[in-house]
Amino acid sequence: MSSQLKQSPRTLEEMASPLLFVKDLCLRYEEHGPWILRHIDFVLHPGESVLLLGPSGSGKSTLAMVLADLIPGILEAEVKGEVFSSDSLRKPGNIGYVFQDADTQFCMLQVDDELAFGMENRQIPRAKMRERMKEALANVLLPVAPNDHHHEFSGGMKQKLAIASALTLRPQLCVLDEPTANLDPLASAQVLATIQKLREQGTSLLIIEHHFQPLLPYVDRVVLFNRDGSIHRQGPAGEVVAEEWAWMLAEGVAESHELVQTAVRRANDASSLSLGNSLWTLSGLDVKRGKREVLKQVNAEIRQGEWIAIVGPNGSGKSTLLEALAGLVPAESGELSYAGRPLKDWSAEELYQRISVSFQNPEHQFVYERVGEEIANQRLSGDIPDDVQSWLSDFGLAGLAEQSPYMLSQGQKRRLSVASMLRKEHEAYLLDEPTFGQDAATTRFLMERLESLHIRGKTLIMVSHDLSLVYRYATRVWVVVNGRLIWDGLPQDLKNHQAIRAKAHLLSEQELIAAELQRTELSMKDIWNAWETKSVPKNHARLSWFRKIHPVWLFIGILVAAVLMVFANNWQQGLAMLLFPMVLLMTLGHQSPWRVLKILAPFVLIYFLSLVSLTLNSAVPSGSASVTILWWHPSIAGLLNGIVLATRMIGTLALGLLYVDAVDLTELTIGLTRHFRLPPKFAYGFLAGFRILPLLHTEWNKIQDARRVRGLSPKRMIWRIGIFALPLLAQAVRMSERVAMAMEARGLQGDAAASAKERSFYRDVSYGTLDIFIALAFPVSVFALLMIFAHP
Amino acid sequence: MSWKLRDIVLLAILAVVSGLIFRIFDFLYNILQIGNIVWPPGQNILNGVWFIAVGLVPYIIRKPGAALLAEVLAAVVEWALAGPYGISGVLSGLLQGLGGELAYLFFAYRRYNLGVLSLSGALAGVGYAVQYYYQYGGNHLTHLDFILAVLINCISGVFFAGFVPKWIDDALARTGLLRNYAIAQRAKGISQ
Repeated sequence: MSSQLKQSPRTLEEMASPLLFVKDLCLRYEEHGPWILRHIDFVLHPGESVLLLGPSGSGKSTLAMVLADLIPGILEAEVKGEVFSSDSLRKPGNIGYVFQDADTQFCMLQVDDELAFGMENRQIPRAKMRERMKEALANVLLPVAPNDHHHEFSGGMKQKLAIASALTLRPQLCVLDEPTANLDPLASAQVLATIQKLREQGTSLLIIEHHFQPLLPYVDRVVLFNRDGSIHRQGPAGEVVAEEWAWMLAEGVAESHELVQTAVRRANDASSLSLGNSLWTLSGLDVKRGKREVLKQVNAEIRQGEWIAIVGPNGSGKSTLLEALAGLVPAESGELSYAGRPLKDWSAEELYQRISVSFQNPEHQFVYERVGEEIANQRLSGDIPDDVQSWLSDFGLAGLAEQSPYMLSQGQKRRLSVASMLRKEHEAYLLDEPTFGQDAATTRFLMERLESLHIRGKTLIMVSHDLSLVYRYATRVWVVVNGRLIWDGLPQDLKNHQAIRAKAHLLSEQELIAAELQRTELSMKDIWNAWETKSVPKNHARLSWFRKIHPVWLFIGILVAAVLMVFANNWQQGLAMLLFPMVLLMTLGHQSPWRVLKILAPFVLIYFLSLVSLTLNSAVPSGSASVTILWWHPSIAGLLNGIVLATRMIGTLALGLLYVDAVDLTELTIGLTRHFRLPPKFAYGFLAGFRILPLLHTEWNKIQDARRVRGLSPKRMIWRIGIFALPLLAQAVRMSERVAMAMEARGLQGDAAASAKERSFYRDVSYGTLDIFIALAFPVSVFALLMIFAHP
Repeated sequence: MSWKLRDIVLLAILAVVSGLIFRIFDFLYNILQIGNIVWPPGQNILNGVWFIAVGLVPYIIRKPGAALLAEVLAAVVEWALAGPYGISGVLSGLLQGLGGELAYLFFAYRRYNLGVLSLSGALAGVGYAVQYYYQYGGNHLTHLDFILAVLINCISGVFFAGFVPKWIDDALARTGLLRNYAIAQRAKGISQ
């Protein structure tokens, strides 16, 4: 029932032709649900840059998605009113949309494929792609090589790559949803520089950003949203912000001046603070994640009553330090103790009664189906008790007790996680980016809560990028750079210590941009060399020769061969089935015998058990010797059956290994859609799904930690799977929606999604007679071997 | 009825999750192999875990082919994670997926309830029986044992690929996150 009218403007004909406009737009997601947008009138002219501002949940992103033609269509909704966009804008690829979460808008594995994706959907010829990629990377100042894998990038680099991916299409309009959220000041300064550059080039911009003050110089107009999804006011940026400042403060859109400008409120009283006993002691602390050293030689002491802010560049080890304090990552070496006892000796139960931990993403902490149950920290049958209700209303969550926590707005989720964290008294509170992604009202609310805890003598340790909060609230600041605690002191001293702030990426924007422009431009020059040479896969020892073969043909050949192997029925055939793929692996596959044996060894044990089972349980052919023990009837025939089963199974395993070594996922995807007519939406949809695998692993770990600090993580893996299933699946659903939306926004829709003929391809995947010959050779060889060793 | 990209990506992700479950279960199953020695048909009682995708995915996405695709992809993931059955696992996925898919086809892709999901799980078990017979030694058992093994497979399928996924999906639907998928469409009343 979505009625979206796209017609030429009549009433607005006299105006300079707008890029797009909406008139009296109303929108809701559910038929009887609340209206998300109410009576919106909005016009965007070419070259304009507009900032959308409003409390969280006021419909800013929704309007942006309507304007970018993502709603309805990609997201279903009931839309009333008039939506117009100019002919030029409606041309595919002319709107670039960069979503809030960079990670879930990627769908490929490495930089060049990612940048190419949008261009492929818009059928930009391959010959032009590299040039456009370089141009886009230069525009966002991201010096990376074409075959870098972006899952290893920091948050800031990912955000830049996401913007670069949109820029490869040279869009007329670029929508940026929270482009600098959760970036350190350096990274956000770089994103600002990108925005400035886009503006100079005449790209129209639509920006949503809670942390808007640094953006004001780069926007022409501001649109203020009311909480109910209507527009409060729109107009020239300077004028609107100046005249509506009081309203913005009241609505929590702007941070109070007090918060922004009060320099070092603690300056004088920090030293006189009465501190209690020592809580944490860190000495010579090293922490590793996998093989990477994340923290090196950290020495510090935390005493009761302190409020410590941990600051530093993205990826410097801040969160790891917090997790180490929370007992969630173990010390590799050195001392790490709480209240005089090594952290590793604390049981989870004891420890998390005394300290409380809050994670960056509140969703990870949700366990129950209803908001009220989150507060009660148990499943409740029937109504939510009154004390829980009143606790919820203390946190501005009145009336939401029966809702699913996942359906709350960002601000509500954060308040809920804090509400449940504060429900019980603790000695110390550890918080990772407590204000991340929150509007000013929620930020203020949270900080007031934390402040009152601190006044009551509680110890607080928080990771934050927000220097104004750090200066205002912290009694002590730790600067972490490259895994080392390079500075530990009072906030006011940090303010005066420019060298340290430079290292920690905590300089003013101008300082940062100047210094960084120079640095990145130098490394940009270096990186172009990597773009000149043909892309070579990273750290390849020696690639399997079979990598040259078309991945789909090879798969077919190997699958048919594996099916044939099943028909090996005597031990000679079985042995042949085992040796055939092993020999191939060690010759053309370029595998050392040692590696092949190492991989296959565990399976030998498994199939030994099958062998025993068959020996004991096989039906005994008449005339064979057999005895009966209990219900078993072991026989030579059975033993031979077992050997055949084991050898041919290990043979198919080796055959599979041969394929796994040879396949490149991206080329498989392209092969499937180009030469086997799998519609691109399936091929790329599958690839995107597979790409989520490592993300799911991260999610799993986060959920596990979040549960552990709530005392809810079972020791046994099997129960954990049960209890984590729901949040993990919830996360998977969320990701798949985001990924799909981003892929469609990047052009994988309509014809480009339906047929490979309507796309261009950056990678040249093709096949010839050799590929088919090799593919056929597999089943033919297996068949021949079966024949040779068949009993006469 | 055409597939939306979000259906495809969710199918792929759920298949990945199922593949992970398969792979974790492979470990446990190895230990349980001892049971195989005691009485081979009994071993099949847990096989339903390997059919979980034929219920988990179609109940949410409700499109022709969802059960088959999901089960095959899940098997591919299991294989890619170095599952002990190698490429034969993909074959299992194909047979189990075909079996499971039939149940939805019987009801013309219109019914998605506990009964149909259970049938799907049971037929996945029948699909697997083909492979069990030719590849995993089923043909060497006595006829009675083989028939019992197939029955046990089906029962296991009904539970692990019918009841369990329905329970999980319903819980997931209650969070409200699935409002854009077929599972929630009837309740919402907005036609696609």
